[in-house]
Amino acid sequence: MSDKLNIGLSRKVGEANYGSRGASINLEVELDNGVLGDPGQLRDRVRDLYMLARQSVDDELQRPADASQTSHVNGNGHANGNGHANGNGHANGNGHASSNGQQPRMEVARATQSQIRAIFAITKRQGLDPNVLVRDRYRVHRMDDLSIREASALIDELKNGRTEVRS
Amino acid sequence: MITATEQPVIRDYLSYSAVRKFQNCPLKYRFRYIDGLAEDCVASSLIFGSAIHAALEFYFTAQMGGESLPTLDTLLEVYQQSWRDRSEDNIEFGKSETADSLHGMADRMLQKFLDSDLTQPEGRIIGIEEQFRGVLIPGLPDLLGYIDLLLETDDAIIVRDFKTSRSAWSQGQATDQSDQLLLYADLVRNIMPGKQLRLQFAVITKAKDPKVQLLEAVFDEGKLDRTKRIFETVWSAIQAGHFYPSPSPMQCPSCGYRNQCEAWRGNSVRKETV
Repeated sequence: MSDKLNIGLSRKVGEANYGSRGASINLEVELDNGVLGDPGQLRDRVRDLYMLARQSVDDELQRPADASQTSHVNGNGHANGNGHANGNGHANGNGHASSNGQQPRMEVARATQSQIRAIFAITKRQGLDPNVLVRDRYRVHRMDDLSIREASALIDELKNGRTEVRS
Repeated sequence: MITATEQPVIRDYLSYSAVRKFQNCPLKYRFRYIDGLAEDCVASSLIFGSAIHAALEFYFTAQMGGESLPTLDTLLEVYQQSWRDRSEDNIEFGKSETADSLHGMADRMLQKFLDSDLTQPEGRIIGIEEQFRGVLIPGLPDLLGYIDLLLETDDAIIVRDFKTSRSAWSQGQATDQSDQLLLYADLVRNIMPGKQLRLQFAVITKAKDPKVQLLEAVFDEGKLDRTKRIFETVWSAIQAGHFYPSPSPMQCPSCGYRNQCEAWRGNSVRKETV
């Protein structure tokens, strides 16, 4: 079993009208044998990963909000990106990281209470677990973290009976 | 002597209706929001409007949740339950008006609603009686409001308010009454930056043959700013303790504070926080 190293970085910048936008990234890499036993090499790996993460977050924040496909902005203008990148065990700081398959997202507001109530009502009627549904589908831990658009899309799917939930 | 019958309502926000109450009668504002006095009676029109709103909220909640759409009988049951919830209130009815005559009117109005295009709102419903709260003006308490219906289309956010009215509205009335919707739209404008803001009034008249209207008001930044200045000024007056009666032949007959008002003999200037 290989050793894994996980680092995360997030940053938020102010925007007009008291809003803000932010992005965060989590990188997980497998370590080569022996790296854990070599503090100097381990520090280098960590530094390289942070460099990669910092560059990615800065790139994300410099993109126009409407062009970004990876930021998740909530109702008051606050944004949380949630990138999850898997390295190949050789995090060399070249800025390349592969996606884990999560769909990129661009949303600008958190779900309203009406939407959340609707999701709970429909899933209850259909015998689905709403928390499992949003965790599997959108990788958020709370219904409140869904965006308005995600909630709308989910409601449409549920109403049309197209939703499948992993058991 | 005026005695509070319940604990004063200490609020850390402002609402549109509270500010309007102050504008109509500063003393009534004080009785309600600072002294926490219960009103001796409640106008039937207020309870009627709330009951119709409850029925409409029920309809759109079912629609948003993909349930079978409520029938007229179901909506009337929701309406009547809303009346029952206020059964302990001392309701003051208008001339030749009874609970039964109002229920008959509700029947006609809700039927007209079901027959109208209002049941198929443009775009997608994203909020029903949705509470929004936010900073209106730095230094003032937050504004808290409930949006009857919040809709999203490809290019716009629509803030829709339902009104029951004795007579049909003109376009001018919709413009004149748009300040509340302007403030609410200001609260929600950041949820989807770049989208146009549209304000709508859905009016159902209280008549033998009710009429249904959908009127649009322009989102006017200048008027929004003026409304904010009014709020700022009202808040200054509240803080300064400027509470005085504002007699009105339109307002006083149905006011629930007539006894307290007659007993009032002036008050020293006081600073209050609501």
